[in-house]
Amino acid sequence: MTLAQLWFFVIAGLWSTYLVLEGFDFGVGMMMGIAARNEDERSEMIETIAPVWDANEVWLLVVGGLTFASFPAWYGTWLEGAYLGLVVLIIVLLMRVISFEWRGRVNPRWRGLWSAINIGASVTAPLIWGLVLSVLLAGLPVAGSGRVGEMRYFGNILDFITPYSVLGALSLAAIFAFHGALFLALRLEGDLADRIRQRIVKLDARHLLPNLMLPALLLGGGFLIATPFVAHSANARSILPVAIPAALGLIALIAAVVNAQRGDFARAFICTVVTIVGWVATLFIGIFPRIIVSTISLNDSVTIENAQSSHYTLVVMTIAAVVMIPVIILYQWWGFRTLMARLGRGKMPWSAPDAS
Amino acid sequence: MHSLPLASDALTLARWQFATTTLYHFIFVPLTLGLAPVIAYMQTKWYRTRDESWLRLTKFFGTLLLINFAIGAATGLLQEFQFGMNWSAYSQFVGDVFGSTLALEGLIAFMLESTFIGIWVFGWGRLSERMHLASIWLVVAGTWLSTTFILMANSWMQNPVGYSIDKATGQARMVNLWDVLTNKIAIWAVFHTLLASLMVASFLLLGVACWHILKGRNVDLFRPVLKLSLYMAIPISTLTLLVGSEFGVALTGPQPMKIAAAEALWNSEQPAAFSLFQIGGFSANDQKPSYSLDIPYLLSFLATNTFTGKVEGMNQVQASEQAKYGPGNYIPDVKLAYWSMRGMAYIGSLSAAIALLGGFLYWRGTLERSRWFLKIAVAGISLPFITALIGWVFTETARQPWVAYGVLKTADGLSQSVGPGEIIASLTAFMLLYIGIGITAFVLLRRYAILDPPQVGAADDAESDPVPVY
Repeated sequence: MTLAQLWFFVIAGLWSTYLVLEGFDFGVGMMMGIAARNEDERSEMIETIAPVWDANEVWLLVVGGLTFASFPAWYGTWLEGAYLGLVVLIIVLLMRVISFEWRGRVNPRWRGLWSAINIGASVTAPLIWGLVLSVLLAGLPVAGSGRVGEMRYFGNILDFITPYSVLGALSLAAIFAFHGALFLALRLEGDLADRIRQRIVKLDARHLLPNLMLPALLLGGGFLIATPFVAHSANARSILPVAIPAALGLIALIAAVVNAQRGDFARAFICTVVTIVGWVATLFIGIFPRIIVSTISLNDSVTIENAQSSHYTLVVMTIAAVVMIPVIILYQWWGFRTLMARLGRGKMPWSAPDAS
Repeated sequence: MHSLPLASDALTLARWQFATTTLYHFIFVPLTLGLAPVIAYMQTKWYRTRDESWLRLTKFFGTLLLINFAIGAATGLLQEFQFGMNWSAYSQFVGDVFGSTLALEGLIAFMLESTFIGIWVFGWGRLSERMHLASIWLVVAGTWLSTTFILMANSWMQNPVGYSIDKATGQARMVNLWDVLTNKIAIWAVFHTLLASLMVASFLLLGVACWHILKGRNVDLFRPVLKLSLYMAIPISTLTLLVGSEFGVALTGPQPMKIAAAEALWNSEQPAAFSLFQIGGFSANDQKPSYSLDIPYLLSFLATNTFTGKVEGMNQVQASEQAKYGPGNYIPDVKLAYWSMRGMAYIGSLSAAIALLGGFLYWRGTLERSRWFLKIAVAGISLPFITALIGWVFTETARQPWVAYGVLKTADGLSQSVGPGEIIASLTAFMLLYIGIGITAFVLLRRYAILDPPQVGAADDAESDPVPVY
């Protein structure tokens, strides 16, 4: 394996980390729309992720920066192509950050509006991420620009919409909703928690709606099953190497459903973590050794080979990542543990608005 | 159709979008950079002395920091992605070097500040006091490191070092990380930016303290803040000016055109006079100003540190750059360069004068009774912000036509598939969003700045924490 190939998988790992972490934040946001009955319940939900959502989102900046440094041609071509999609994404992520910060500070009359913004952003962002990630495999009109070493995008945002990438978008959103609901089932107490446990993550014959188990299973399962075949037809991959992570992801998804049904939400949550990692792994192994499959001709694709940075830069980045990523995991894990251990039980001491 | 009043080509639009969103981002960044160490200092003071007024102040200014931090971080996301979205050719050309500094920022700095600000906010009463104090200092370290890496990235655009052009691909490839990290322009830029940020914070402290004294509210609590703000503002505003001036000297080597344009100096002079104010003389067809107020020898001194040094003019630099890079116009917008340089220097000097005046009144013991000064100090909060923004306008526009000086022109860095229509849509959306956020942020910051600082009695201790309320 070359250093650049290693970096391709490091970046896949960072995407997994980001999606697992921000995935439950988005899921909690969706649950504010699905399961909460009033603004106080929405506040309770937000409080479960309050100390961590910001640090979770920073993983996006890390994966962005490392993609930029290790595969400049990937970064440039992909972001340019997804222009309008990313504009929407950045706007909703920005609105979401602001909604977290200001929902409780502004006049209580506006709380509902900020909740709606947060819910809308939590639905939109996973859809866009699902779309722009899975389209890497479905294919985009990319090719060399004629200038050596530079890749060009020859389409527009509509080229991002393919049956497979739409399935990718829906599946990621559905998995995140389930993932977030399990997180809440774990973190909350009382009536709200019971409602989520009984109706949202478990399949209750009397309450088929709203239930998040089925969409996650159908759409997530559909994506995992479809990917090896799409990789075969679009990217000339043999089925087996892609089917292995897909099968592992599918087993984890089924295990999540079974564990939720049995009421073991902690184990079910770990299983959705594995499902998300499996989603990313299946996709990236499907794309390998290309990065953006070209619909113009397979030979025009952005590949690990033609998009990589210099050996020197990759070595520098490797040293930085080997030193820093364990340090980051250490202090984030410590921070999560310290703060989470004291949170999540009923009303927070700071819930009373202090400035009105 | 002739030329439109607002240029509608993709290049101009993409530049407008980058400029406006970056400047907006930099309204919030310097306050975070400057306020974080002040808050860490206040909390340390409380930790050491157990004087509760410092704890109240920590929480009071902590709330302002949090509101501000959220917007700075949120708008930073667009900054990183915009390189790929609008400047794809640039990203591909320089990603090897430039992208690396951004990646290092994320790994080393940004993760640190974001994690520990969460720990600080939610850690009151949940961490040991020592760990909690350490967490705010780690936020300071994170924000300052973040600035350092970002300015290394920007300084590489100003003065590309530590790279070579790959013969096969034509791209810039990093050959020496150490050279990139120790770029002399970066070192000056880091000093200048951090000082300017501390200046922003010190003027906020001064203004807020003066407001409370003016209204006769919480006077005992804000008296130490007044003293602290003057102890900061007087030396720091002076130092920012001096370092800025030396920064200019350091830039004369790598970017002679920028310095010549900043002075609207068309032909080399020895010794060179400094133009305080002039009318006309800002374009190649109109090189001689119709009126000009000059100080002899001063420009030589500012640019070379000797009274008789030679300062190169734009015509001479243009000729040498054409010889080096081929035909083309290498002169930036001279009027903008001249006035943005002066705007920065003059408003910066005005700020320093206000700080000195405040120090004088404080020493005389009449400051609290000088209502006129208290009002000036409240209005003065805005000055260092404006100065910092004008500084960025200068440093970025006077580098044109280059995006990476001598290596890549701005026009060659553009994303080819993103058309004017798409940029008009995104620019409009970002502007509307940013205006909305800006108004809300201003209202919130103002409200919390004039609030009575929280009490820290045992009963309502938790409620007074500067944490987000949901």
